[in-house]
Amino acid sequence: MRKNTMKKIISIMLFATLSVSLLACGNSATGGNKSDAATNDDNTQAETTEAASAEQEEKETDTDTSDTENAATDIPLTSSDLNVVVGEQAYMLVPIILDQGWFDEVFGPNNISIEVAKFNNGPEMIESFTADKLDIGFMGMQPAISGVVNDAGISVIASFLDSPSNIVIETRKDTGITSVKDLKGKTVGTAIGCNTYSLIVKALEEEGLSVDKDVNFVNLDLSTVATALESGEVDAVAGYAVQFEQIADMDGDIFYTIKDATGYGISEDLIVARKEFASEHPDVVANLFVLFQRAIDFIEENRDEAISITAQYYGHDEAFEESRFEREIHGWIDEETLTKDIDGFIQFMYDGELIPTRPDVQDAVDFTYFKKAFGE
Amino acid sequence: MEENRTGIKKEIVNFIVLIALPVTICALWQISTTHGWIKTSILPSPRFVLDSAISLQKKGLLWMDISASLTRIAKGFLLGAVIGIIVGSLIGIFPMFDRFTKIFVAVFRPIPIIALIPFFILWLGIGEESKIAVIVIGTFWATLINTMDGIKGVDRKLIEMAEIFGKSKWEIIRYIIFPYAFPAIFTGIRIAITASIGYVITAEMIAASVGVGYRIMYARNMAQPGIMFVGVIEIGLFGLVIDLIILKLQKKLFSYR
Repeated sequence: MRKNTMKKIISIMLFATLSVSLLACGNSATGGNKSDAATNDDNTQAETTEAASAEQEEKETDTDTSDTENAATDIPLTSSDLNVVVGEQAYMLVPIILDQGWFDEVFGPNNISIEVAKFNNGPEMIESFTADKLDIGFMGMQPAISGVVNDAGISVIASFLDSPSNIVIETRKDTGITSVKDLKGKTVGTAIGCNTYSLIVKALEEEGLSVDKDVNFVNLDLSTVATALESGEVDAVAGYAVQFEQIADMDGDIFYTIKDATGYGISEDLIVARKEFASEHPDVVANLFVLFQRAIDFIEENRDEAISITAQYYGHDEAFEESRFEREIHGWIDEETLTKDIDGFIQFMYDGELIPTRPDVQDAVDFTYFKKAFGE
Repeated sequence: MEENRTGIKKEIVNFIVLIALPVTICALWQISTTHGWIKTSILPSPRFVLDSAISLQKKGLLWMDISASLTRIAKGFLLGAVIGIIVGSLIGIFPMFDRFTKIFVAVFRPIPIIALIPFFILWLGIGEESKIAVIVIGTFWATLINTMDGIKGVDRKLIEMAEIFGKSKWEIIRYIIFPYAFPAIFTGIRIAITASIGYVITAEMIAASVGVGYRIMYARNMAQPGIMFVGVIEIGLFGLVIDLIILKLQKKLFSYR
């Protein structure tokens, strides 16, 4: 009798455990890609913003697949029941959108969740694109083109313009280096594969110098370039101006800017999309564009509040953030200019043997979704 | 004649068995990538990897990277092994020295060397010193522990017998302790040199301008999986060649046993 009772209790417990685990596993469906962002574990974090599920009646009405006007953006949103992964590297727009709840507002009714994955640099994002774990991302020219050439399945769908003074080649005042020519024989560092590397290569080439033969080049993580320069490990680095300003604020005016990115066509921040995702869900991409524009408008109209939001999100102090705002996102670039700049950059990378083949720029750029969003 | 034929057949069979698995893996790998079962941007084909290696060789980068990494390994390993054997011997032979270093060894030995790499870069910079220091420390611990254990494992009865026969301390160390402990010391050397390959690659990935680790990182940042694979295969071949050399050396040195 006792044995039978025990058997019954165990059976009930097993049934309960099975039910709970089935409920947990049968959560929101994924559409374009898996919900986990597979990136370098040391360098990324994922934040998931779950959009609210629609009421059952609304869902039933909307699943007849006819175009449905999206009240929030006026762009029809036919996709539903998706998880979209957006990768970002401190480009400011995403924290604004998250803070204002616009992802929920626009995509929530269609049960589309937007997951934000943070990356340290473009090459890491390319890895995620290659593994089909990322749908949309922000990055520089060089990683985007490397990704196109090496079959990451991506295309450039738009670009912002940064201030060219954002990317600089910097040295310490005590090195005596005052021009790019003086870098010959010196130790120079930055992150390979990023825009900053392109600046060093282009600036050296202009003076008839080669990054492989005429300088002692060291691959450094972008987050360490300023401290590596300050500590004397390297004679010069390429990085973002705000990094050096931040150190100068603390330790005095110790740096000297040799060159910035003016005239090199690398001060563009590209928006890149996974081709398969974009072609299956052009409505999602177009609506994202509208939200990016909305965030840009918000920054223009509520600058102080925007600075506060992004400073909190990234863990920066507001003075640093203000400096970034002055340099980044100065409007969209038109299709013709972007195509021309990318073509020129492809040629530069091909001539410098940074890419093994020369892709057609038409394979790299696709403005369809931008036009769908803004009707241009 | 019959015996010769049988011997040759056996050699052929042995050779086929030896290469069967690597050849099968390569064949499956090539077929998978050719038919698109696996994305080549994630796993490039063996043919593509070979082409990448040839491309690096033509630019003079292949041997430049290999020799830079091997030079670092050789320097770091020699220094680390010598220090490790000396200190391990002192700990093994002199109980007072053992007590003196006990806490230091217990606390610092478990710290993974890879966790110390950023500190070495901070203290010694991004030049050769930091990379060699990483290998020195890694090699030091492996040789110290094995030397110490090898010496402590010597049969005490042999030592007592030598003492009874009036042998000096030095004679006991030279003719009993070290020959007995040598296989353990050699095992430590073998572990150390294999581990030093991993340490140097990791150090080169963080901050370097040449070397196999640097090339892998370069290829990763430029989305060039073919070159990444060349680097990975180079690391495997380092290990294979070094191990074969050590095994041959081991056979010659321990013939007395």
